[in-house]
Amino acid sequence: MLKTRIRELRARDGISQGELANLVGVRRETIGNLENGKYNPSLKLAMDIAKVFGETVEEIFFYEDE
Amino acid sequence: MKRAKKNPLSYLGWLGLIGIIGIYYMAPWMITFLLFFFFFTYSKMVPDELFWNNVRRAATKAFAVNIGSQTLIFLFLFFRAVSGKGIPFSEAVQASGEACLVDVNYLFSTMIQTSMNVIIFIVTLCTFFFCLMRYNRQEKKFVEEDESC
Repeated sequence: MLKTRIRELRARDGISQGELANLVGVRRETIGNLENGKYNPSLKLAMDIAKVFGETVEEIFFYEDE
Repeated sequence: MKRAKKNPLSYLGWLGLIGIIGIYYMAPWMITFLLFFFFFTYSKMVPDELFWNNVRRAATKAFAVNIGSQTLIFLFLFFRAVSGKGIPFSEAVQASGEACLVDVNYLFSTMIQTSMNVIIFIVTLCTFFFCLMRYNRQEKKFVEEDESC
């Protein structure tokens, strides 16, 4: 299952779901679904999110065996 | 200032105007096009990748329903033609003979097929609408109420 550290990084940088959504050009729902592992992002979206937090894609998105 | 991108799916809403023409000419199968007005509800929704993902999922389900129902209708018409059930054989033959029977058979099949196509059209559209609505409702579950983080 694809896990993300988006929620943790948002808390670190004090960014809301809506703000992050605006920064990467998607809806709040998309960020919410990403955080809960309900949606696998495209490479472009993953790289955009990584850029916002100043991290690499691998540091934010990772696979975890269930 | 950057203009907000309009959702391309909402343009399908204009097909609903065909339904108004259908009301004017009292053509029931054209009235079903009124369903397309539903697409206007998406004009305000930002078409991001999750949205298109939902559209793809809903379209896949609608496609499966369409293929399934088309196959069933095809088989129904085929076996109906083979068995000759549902055709007023005796009346047709008595009226004008064999040629009339062929005409009746052809006309009746065409009528059934047209009606079935309208039903399939409605079922396919409704499948798409309801699936898309369901997926959009599901995705809202993960939106945080408190935006202050």
